[in-house]
Amino acid sequence: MLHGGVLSLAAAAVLVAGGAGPAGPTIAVAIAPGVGGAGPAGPTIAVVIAPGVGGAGPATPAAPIAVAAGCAPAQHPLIAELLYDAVGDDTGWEFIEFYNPFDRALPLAGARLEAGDGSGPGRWTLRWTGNAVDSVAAGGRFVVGGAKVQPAPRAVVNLDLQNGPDALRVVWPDGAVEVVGYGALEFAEYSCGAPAVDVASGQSVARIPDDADLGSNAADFRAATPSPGRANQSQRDLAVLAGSLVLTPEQPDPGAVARLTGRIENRGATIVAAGEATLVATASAASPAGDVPLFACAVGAALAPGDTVAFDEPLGLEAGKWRLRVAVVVPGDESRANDADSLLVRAGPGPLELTEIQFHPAAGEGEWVEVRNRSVAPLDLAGFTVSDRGGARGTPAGGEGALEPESLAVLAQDRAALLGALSALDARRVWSAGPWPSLNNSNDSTGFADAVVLREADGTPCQRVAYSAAGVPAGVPLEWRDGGWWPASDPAGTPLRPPHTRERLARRFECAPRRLREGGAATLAWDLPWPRARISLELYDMAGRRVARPLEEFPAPARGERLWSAGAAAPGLYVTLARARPDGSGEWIVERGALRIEGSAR
Amino acid sequence: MRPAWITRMAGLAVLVPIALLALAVRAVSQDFTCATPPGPAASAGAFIESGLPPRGAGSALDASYTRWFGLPELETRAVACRAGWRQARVAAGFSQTGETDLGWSAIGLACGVARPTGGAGLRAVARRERAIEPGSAAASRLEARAGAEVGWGAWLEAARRLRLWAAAPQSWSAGVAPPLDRPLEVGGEFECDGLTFWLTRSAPSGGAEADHGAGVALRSEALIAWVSARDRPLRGGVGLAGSARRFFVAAAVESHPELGETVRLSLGLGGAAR
Repeated sequence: MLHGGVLSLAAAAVLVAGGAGPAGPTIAVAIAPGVGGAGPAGPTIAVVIAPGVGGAGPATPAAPIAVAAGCAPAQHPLIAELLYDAVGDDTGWEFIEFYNPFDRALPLAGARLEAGDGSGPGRWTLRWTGNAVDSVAAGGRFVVGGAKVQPAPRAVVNLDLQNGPDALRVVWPDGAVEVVGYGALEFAEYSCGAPAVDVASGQSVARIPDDADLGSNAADFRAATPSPGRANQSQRDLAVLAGSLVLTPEQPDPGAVARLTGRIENRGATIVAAGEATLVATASAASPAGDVPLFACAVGAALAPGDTVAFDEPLGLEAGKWRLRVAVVVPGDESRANDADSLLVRAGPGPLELTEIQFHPAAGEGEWVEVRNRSVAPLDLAGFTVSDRGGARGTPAGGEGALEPESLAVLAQDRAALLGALSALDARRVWSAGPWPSLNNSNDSTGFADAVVLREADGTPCQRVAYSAAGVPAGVPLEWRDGGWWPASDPAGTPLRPPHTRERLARRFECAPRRLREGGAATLAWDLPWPRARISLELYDMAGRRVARPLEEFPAPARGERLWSAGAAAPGLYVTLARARPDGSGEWIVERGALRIEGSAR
Repeated sequence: MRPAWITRMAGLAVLVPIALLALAVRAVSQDFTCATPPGPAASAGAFIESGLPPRGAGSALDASYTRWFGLPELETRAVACRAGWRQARVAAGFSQTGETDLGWSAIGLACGVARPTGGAGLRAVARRERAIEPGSAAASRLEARAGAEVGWGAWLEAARRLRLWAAAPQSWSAGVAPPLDRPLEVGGEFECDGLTFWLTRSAPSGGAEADHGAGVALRSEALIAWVSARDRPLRGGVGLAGSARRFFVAAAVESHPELGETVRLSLGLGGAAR
């Protein structure tokens, strides 16, 4: 990296005597506009080195060398870190850190710290000015910030910085300027080269390494955990990347093998050798059982500065809600705050479960899902969220009271519309959920239309149901029965009521009524010896010719019924042929019955 | 040298069946179905069912039972009688099909003339629903609880040992629709050394493809045994009929690959299977 202390970016052109004595070479330096200039890129410097008197060779000029200059002005402290967006209210938490990379103290007297409003040109406002006594010790740091910053800043100031895209600059008494811009800035004056990233709340924009000066804010600064008064980059620092932990499946069965994956990053300035670091995972439950060790293993790969490595470890969990914690341990780690991350998971079913899903309403009642409290204690539905595959989480509101054990409630896209369409519903147990996760009506390439996901308010998984819309008649909800999700036995669904349970049939199939009007509909009910089956229905005339196939083969539970239409079959006497086979393979069950379609002679 | 009219008759004997076969559509027995091979039969029920008058005069009484595709709720029981004087033929019968909630009762009449070289007849069947709910349309309107159909049948000894027939049992119908649409069936049979071969062609209305049937019967003085086959879907059947003095008994089974077996039993007095 090229250190900014060598060149003054404020100068248009400088002629420097390269050596101390007459024997030194002569260096001509020409600098194109840099910070504060018109272009977003860093300044370009043409350096021509000529042998001086007493030089070894003849005085022939060398070819110019183009190098990239930095954004930091020479002989001044650097802006090393800034926090402009704290979590929650920013007041008192914002700070700016100066860093002196030189081996002598540098004064801050007269330095003007200005905040730039990136929404228009020339909008700079003063935030702080260095006093005569302010200075940064050699290799030291000087923090200007709010009263809540810890450790306490050297200068306590409410900076009132705006969230990006905006900027900050220091104007030194000698006219040198350092600008740090963040976010997608429209005007070039607010950054040096490409601006730094606009970081998430709670993160700072930090110069990494602490003396980086690569010619643009984007190259010099990264998002980081705030470290006022401390080095931005430790010599030795391994971190578990925040948010990288994933458990697959998200909600495993108790005792079943699941896989925990995540990523580790070397945020230090030195290499971590293979096997030097150890990954330790524990699970802690809400119960007083304490932490349960999950695994401990060495990180088998060497990690150069900035490198990341993924891990993927199997584990098994007992039933319940757990907080998984993964920590990386390496001797000499200088930053412990980023050594661990955690993930809330659940093994086995949650306290709230889905029992019915209406994803394609046909009567204007809006989408809805029915849930059941399967725990032994009342549940406050406001403590849960409902979402789709996309992840937007809706929070229930509008119902009354806690949901008693074994009780049903409905979470609705449009509570008023649902209550209007189904006036018999108990309004106290109908909740609206907003924002409502719009549920897809048709399958995509995955074979599923969408998913309905219940979580506790803290994000702990409760249940996830991926559903297929294939073969579900329009307007008919899906309901949970017989160990699977099936089109509801009652085409209108059974919100706030358990699924309609069929009595055992005397036969495997029953078609009712046996007599229907031309173009009318009948119901095929079945009672099969397998948990899942595939069923079809055909219609033959009395000459033995197949005239229609009212129900193409469809998946079905052990017991159920399906409405079908005789369609265009002419009036007459027919034989229905219902077939079923177990899902997968197996012997067919075939039953025949008589059907009369009423109508006049043609 | 062969006379010209013989040549023309021979030509007709070939062309007429071909034309009829090309135009044919389906006709399957319903209310008075009997255990007999297709075509003109001595059975009273067969006369009512197809309109094809029996060749012989005299009187006969027969009863038949059919279980359709093995379904107990689909059974047909019928009794019929016929009489003949010189060339005139008449028949009447009563039948009942199906369980109460989906079945019907029917009466049938047939009349016609027949000579050794040919015959033609008319047939009519009237049906009435067995279940009529009070207050329903069937209770208040005749056409909602009853139906009728009228049709015809004719056969011809087209050449020696070659007989052709055509039947359109539902040329006219009204009221409740019949259980099966039966527009037309044509067929022909050829006798040779105690064996009778037959072909039939029938097709449903509505533009569907034709059905075809074929069979062979072995005849003796008192016994007829036959095997038959039909397509769409391919299926086969066997039958056996025997007579002693003035009594006869017959049974036939046809096996459908998907729907199972249809069994027909007939017994009678004064007639024969053919």
